[in-house]
Amino acid sequence: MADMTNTTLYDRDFYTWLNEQAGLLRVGRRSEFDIENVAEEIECLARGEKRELKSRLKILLIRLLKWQFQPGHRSGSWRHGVTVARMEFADILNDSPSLAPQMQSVVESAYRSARLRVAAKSGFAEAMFQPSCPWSYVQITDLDFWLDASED
Amino acid sequence: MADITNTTLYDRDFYAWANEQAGLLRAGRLSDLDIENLAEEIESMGRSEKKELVSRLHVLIMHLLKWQFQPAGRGTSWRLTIVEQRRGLAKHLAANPSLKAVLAEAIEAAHDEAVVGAARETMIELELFPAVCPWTFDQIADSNFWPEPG
Repeated sequence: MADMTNTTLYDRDFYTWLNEQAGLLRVGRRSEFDIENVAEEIECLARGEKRELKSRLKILLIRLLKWQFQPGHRSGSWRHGVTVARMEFADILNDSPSLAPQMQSVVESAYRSARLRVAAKSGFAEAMFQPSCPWSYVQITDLDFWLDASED
Repeated sequence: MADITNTTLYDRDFYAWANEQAGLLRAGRLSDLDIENLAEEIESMGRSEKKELVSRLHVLIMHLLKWQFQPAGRGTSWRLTIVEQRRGLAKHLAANPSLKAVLAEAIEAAHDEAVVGAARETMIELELFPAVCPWTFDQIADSNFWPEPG
């Protein structure tokens, strides 16, 4: 039996449900609140933030790998691309600094997908790239780190 | 004066704030909630749902305009974009039926952007496209509607 309460309004009409929940909050009618679904949606926002940051980390690693493996193509715009990726990552992290420890722990999986992408795009064999991320989290996100210093 | 309570956690660390609010909700500690920011975030999700409606209509109307005004460019890619956007639009409205109340306004906003995109891509002068959307919502959404040159 479907009942026509808040719980199913969430399924029937998300837009109306959102407006209704915000209204209930603002007028202080907390007891009528659809607690379970609001909690779920707020957690979903948090997960989205984490996913976005991880995706930025992957973009940054892709640009660093290209920088590393195609030195012949290095140019001002490539360098700029790495810097922009670092700044965008830092911007999002700045909104949610508590995600930093989690980002350190996803470096390896972000590196694996970045390596796969760069290999596919460049035509280089995947085995040409180091099996695990050659840079530390601090180096990856450091605006002044440009690989060569540590390779020499 | 800034205080280091929930209100400022929202500004200091969104991820931590969101998890904290969800935890308070689940624990039933409703009086500890950061009501103002929570309401703001929920309203912001509502605005995103509306934005997605306009965005789907924008892509769809732009391709229908190209379809009508530049028949020589018709191909699988345009057709599939139209089919894809119609399906997405139907799903979005099924999840948010109340958005039907803002369709007229959404179509107007979407058409405004769509003509510029259509003019850019077809190289046909902007002024040659209709100033207001020439189709009803039912036509735009109808999988059998493929506008022909007028």
